[in-house]
Amino acid sequence: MSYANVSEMLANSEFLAKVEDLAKSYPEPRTALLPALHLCQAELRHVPVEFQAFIAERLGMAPAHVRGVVTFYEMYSEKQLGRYLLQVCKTLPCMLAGSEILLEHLQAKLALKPGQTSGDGRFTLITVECIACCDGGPALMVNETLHRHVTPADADRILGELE
Amino acid sequence: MAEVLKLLTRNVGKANSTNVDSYMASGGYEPLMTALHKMSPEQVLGEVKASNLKGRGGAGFPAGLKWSFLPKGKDRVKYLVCNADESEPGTFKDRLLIENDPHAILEGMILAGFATQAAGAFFYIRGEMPQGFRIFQRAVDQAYERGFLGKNILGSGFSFDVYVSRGAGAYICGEETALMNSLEGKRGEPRLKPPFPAGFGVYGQPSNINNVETYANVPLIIKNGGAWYAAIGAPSAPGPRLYGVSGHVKRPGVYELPSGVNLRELIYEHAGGILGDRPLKAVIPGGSSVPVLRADQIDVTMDPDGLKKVGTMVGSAGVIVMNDTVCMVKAMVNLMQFYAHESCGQCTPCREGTHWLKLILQRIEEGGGKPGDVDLILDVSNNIMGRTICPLGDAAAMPAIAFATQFRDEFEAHIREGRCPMAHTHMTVAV
Ligand SMILES: Cc1cc2nc3c(=O)[nH]c(=O)nc-3n(C[C@H](O)[C@H](O)[C@H](O)COP(=O)(O)O)c2cc1C
Ligand code: SF4
Ligand code: FES
Repeated sequence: MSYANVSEMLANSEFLAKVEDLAKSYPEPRTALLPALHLCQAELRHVPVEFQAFIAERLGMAPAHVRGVVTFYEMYSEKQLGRYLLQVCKTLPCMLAGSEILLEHLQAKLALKPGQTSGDGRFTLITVECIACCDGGPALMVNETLHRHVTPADADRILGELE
Repeated sequence: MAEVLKLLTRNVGKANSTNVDSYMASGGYEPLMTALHKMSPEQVLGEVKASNLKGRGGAGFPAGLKWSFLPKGKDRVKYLVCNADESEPGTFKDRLLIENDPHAILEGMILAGFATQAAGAFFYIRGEMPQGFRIFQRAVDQAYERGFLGKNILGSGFSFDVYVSRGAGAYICGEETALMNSLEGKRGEPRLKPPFPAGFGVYGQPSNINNVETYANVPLIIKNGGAWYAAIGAPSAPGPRLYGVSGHVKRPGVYELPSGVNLRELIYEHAGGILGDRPLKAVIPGGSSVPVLRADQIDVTMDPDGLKKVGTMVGSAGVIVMNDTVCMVKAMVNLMQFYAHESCGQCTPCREGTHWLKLILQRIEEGGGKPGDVDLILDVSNNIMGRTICPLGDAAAMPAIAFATQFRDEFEAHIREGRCPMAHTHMTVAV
């Protein structure tokens, strides 16, 4: 995480310049809403209401509209997620390839249920629907990195290599 | 055995295949130069119509015909959209093109823009493909540097811009009007049609949307001619096709073959046969939204006519293979959880129906099935069909009906015995 909190982020000129770039990247500024929310989610690991109000103002939308968008899409979270977001694909092709075994393993190893974040803020474990890697099932994404054909032993290695 | 093609996948696996220089080294952007300097927009459209290219996103609508629905001329600002939301369970072919050959997709988009005289295009990629997003954005930046995008492209007088945007985790945003709402910074809720995108699309402007693979075919068509393309594979839906095979096969992956390949051949020859050399039980031939087939129904061609004979569809050409260890109730629970989770909730039949299908199936799988449950599943499904704003409702109901009808005995056995008769065999690991 590069900013301590949302106020620090919103006071940072580099961050504000990135938002301005996004707002000018499309024929109409409103198209920048989803990309801007991604930016915030990546920086803070959640999208707090303070950012929602800020981006609503900048793009000329009602804060309630922005909140509706944040809550509609799976990848935005109002609660802060762990430093590593473990995304286990659970849809049919991955299930056929053993995603249940992978999920059980991760649950036991981390003592987390899907949706939970570890006490030290390191890991959030979630299940996701098909991520278009069905020939590589069971698929696991750790933040932005996709891992294919992940056995429990692979999962141990992948987690072991994280800081 | 049908020969594996290297048309759409010609650059897959090559070094630096995503770079503009290596794309150009193998003849990339030459079709665009030909079109801009030697052809009129009408001629480009004519070749695409002659090719009989059908959309690869699921519905198989003729691409040239769809382009011709846009108003002619330049009086109104028109937009194109490339649908890179790829979220249909069992579908992973667009990822291959995006991550390996972004310029082929981009060239197809620019050619389509020239043919329709559009002002620009949006590339909307699902949020869970961050690498693909960066690869495509870089391809767009390179195309601007080389003058393939922007004002007065290659001195032709034609100007065209491409904007890259990301989804954020919602299957429904693959539906064309939900995608357009998402591009406008809204919740991904489908719009009531009419008006259709050709008249009222992104920002209310006339818009055309196609799938990634559809656009990637266009440079091939302009290079080799519509007649050449129309002669490849099944005449009713010709061309090379990216078939994705997943589940219980020895070699899951994307196979580029002429459209209309035999389904048995695809599974047993190209994908190496069934995992564990076990008996085949079921195949979903075109992504999770199309009706499932039994093992005795796979001697068919993978084209609309061939699959119609066994009551199903090509869809996204994502083939999900299940061997005899799979419990059909459990497989269907998994899919109904998916649809219940992904319903946007606007229409009561879809929102409530998918939820109830999930609950009924979970109850059966857990041993609490009641006599009449299979008919209840069919009744709920039939009450979704045709009663919703967008096709997601049907996309859930069609496979539900097929599972419950094709494998009715297995559902009844669960209900009768009050347990899963296959619990001990559940799912083998394919890795
Ligand atoms: C629920 C739903 C999800 C869809 N998802 C996708 C998708 O991920 N990718 C895609 O290309 N088309 C998807 N479609 C189809 C699109 O609405 C649209 O028909 C397609 O992008 C048109 O492109 P084509 O004519 O080139 O096939 C989906 C449709 C529905 C109803
Ligand atoms: S059919 Fe389902 S997904 Fe489509 S608009 Fe209605 S509720 Fe939403
Ligand atoms: S089902 Fe897991 S990636 Fe498709």
